[in-house]
Amino acid sequence: MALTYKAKLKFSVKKTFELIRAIIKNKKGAFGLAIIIVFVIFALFPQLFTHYHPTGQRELAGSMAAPSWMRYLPGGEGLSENIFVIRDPGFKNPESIYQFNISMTDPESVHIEYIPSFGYPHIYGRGPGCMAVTYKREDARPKGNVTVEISKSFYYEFQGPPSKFSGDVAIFVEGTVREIEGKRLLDVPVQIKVYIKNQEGKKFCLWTPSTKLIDTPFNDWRITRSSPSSRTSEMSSWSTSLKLRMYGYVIDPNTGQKTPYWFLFAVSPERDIFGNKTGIMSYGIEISFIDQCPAENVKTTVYIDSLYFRTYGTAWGLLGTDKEGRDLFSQLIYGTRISLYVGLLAAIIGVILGLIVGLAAGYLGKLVDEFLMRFTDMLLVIPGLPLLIVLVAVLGATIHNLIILLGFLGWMSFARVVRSQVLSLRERPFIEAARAAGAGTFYILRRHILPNLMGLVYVTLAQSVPGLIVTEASLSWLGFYDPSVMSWGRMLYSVQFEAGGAFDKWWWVLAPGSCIALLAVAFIMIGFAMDEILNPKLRERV
Amino acid sequence: MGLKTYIAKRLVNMAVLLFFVLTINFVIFMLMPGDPTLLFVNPMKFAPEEIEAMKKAWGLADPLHVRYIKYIKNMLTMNFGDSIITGRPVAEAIMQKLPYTVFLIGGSTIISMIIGILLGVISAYKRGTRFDDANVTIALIFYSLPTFWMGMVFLMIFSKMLGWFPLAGAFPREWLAYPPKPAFTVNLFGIEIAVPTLYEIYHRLRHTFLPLATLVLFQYGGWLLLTRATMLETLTEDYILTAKAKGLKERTILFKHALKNASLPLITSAALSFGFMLTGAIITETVYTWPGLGGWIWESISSRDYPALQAIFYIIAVCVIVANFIADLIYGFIDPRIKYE
Repeated sequence: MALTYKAKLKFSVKKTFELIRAIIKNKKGAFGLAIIIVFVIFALFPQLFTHYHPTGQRELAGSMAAPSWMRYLPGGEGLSENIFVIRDPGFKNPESIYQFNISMTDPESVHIEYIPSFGYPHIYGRGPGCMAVTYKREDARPKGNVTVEISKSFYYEFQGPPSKFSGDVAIFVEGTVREIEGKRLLDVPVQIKVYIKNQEGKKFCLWTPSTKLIDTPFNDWRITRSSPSSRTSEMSSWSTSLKLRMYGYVIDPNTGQKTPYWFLFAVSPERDIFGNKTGIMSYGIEISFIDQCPAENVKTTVYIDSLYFRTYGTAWGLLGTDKEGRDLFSQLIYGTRISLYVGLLAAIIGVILGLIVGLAAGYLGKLVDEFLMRFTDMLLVIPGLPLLIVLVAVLGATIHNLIILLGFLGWMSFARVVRSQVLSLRERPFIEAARAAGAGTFYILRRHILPNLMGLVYVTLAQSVPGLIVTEASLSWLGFYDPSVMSWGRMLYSVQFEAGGAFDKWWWVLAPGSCIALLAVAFIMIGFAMDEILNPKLRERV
Repeated sequence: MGLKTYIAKRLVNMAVLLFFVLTINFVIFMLMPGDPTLLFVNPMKFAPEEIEAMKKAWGLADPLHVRYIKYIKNMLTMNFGDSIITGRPVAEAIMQKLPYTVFLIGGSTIISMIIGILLGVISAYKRGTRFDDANVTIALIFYSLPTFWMGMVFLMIFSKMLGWFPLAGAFPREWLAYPPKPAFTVNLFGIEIAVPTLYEIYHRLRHTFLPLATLVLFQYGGWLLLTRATMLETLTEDYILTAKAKGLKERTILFKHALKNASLPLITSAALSFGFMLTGAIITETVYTWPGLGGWIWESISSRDYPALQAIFYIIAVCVIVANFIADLIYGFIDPRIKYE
């Protein structure tokens, strides 16, 4: 009977649907299938569930942050979340300058405006737009010190300090100059301080330029933090992760007394500054124009851009962050891919190899059988995981190496099963009839033996996936992970080995492990269901 | 075929296997990218001629077959060379670590076999009931859980949160410097046996509990499922019906009549699953930083201690091969049919 290609396809589609329907009807099968479908959706459309890159986006929040929902559980009162204090730090929008509270000692001589055409070209500034603070005097009477304070208040709603904080300010100073001893000096030098005022009114000076008085005009922007371009000179950096470069002092609100505050020696400046209280804090920049110049028509302008301040929360997202501040939830979602990919592909490779060896050994018999089965037995005896570990250590742990190794070390027991099935099939009358009709070996294998083994193939596929998923996870957990992707095993590796056994972060331990277990159990269930459907003998027994 | 030929055949089989493992071990470390000399020698500090001379002295310049024969000889005489990291003979370290692994695997296998077979028999007897379902499901879940994760969860709950058990090691850390004194020593046929104090036993048990429990939970599911399957088959046999008709007690039927006949596949699987147990042991030892062979694999990989790695792999393979051989022997004694195959 010659079937057309179309009819064949129709038949196989119908068969597949029948199998799926049978699986759904089976209680275990439906359970397993539902779980697998959910994970497949995670693997195919991770963007639906998370916006963050699993490995690429660092410092989304503080290092090893707790999940956000921990804040509402007992014991989580002290957790804080990210705060981005300044809206539009790059001054792209003219309205942005109205978010600041501005106070000055001499409003007549100081003018603040938005400059649309000029700006710090990097980081948050990126492109034109900045704020200009201009001090101008026409008469010849120096006014002494004129101070301008530009600050942004924010409500700190958390009862605990952030994990750390960081910020930037880019400044550019220009003005009228005079020449003294061959140097071009500003008529009105300025002093700039960046500070944060905490809930109690204590002012922490975070940053002043290394030469406290700016007395020469700049020829380029200067920023507080190292910038991607080498054209701008770096003055000082003050992220709390770089405590070494920070210095400053604290001003007591009541007495006005200054005490030095050396961030260099402070164990946790964020604790000193933010404390455990909610309240209004402010972040600001203080510019003092020191006008002692007897000349007329003096002017100094300070351009401010990239005025940026953020805290890194100790709580973040659905699952918190890892040691480098990467989102754990997206690692969990993207990790599904790796597990499914490795598990399924390795299972397919293993089943195909087992099928080939088993068919050859069972049908060709004699010497081939003896040789292949001896070889299979030998491989069966060699302890799998140590061999895998050694091979991965030698060949390198890329994901494709893992798949190939797992596939090539996982065919042996299936080959034995196939062989025994083929041995019994080849003695059946219908094979004999085909042989008598002149069918060749390959024809018989393909048309008569293989179709009879397909049930076994499906069941073995489903049953070998869980072991492979767990083995992949174990290898990753031992440190043999592909560094370019994040898998569940690697997540657990980072809990145990990178985060120094952070077992108190139970969400980090439980989430990837339960996913591994759930996926493995789902495949086992499917395997059981298929076994019951395709091997009807079992049905009455269980 | 008598018992003697059977044993002889198995012995030959074992020798072939050993040879196969040795060859694989050789080939893998030959394939390793990079020059092994560079592990020992800093090329910046030595002239190329000096490095060549060292290679010659170590025999690395010999042709492949000479090195292969030398390697086989060394492996068979347990001459594994020195560890790159500690500089001490690898064989010495193996002798130090092997007892810990044997203890862990042996103990957990015995316990899990008892639990698994017992539950499997009961499950088969009560097949189809809610007890059976729950039993099988729980066993399956533990069977499919990643061992390392189970260990991590146990550490998290019992060590970190409850503080019942220590976080790592097989004994308190201070024992490395001040080993506990034995209560007394017994001289048994010329061998000094140190009897530990209750204090020492208590601490050792406290450290052993979690790794042992993890391995038992990892293994018992397999035993349960296998016992249940073979028992289900055996329970449908006619002689069971006869035994029931005779009015024998259920317990007698289950454990004396059915289990005895169902135990044959259990023995084969015991041997075959030895490699599987080792897998569990390697992972468990790493989780609990247990000073056995498995934990050592991880250490030597992370420190690129290849001589140690090669030796561990060899030793583990030898253990598995020997276990298989012993299982074959037992099988030969228990099942008389095997001999006349």
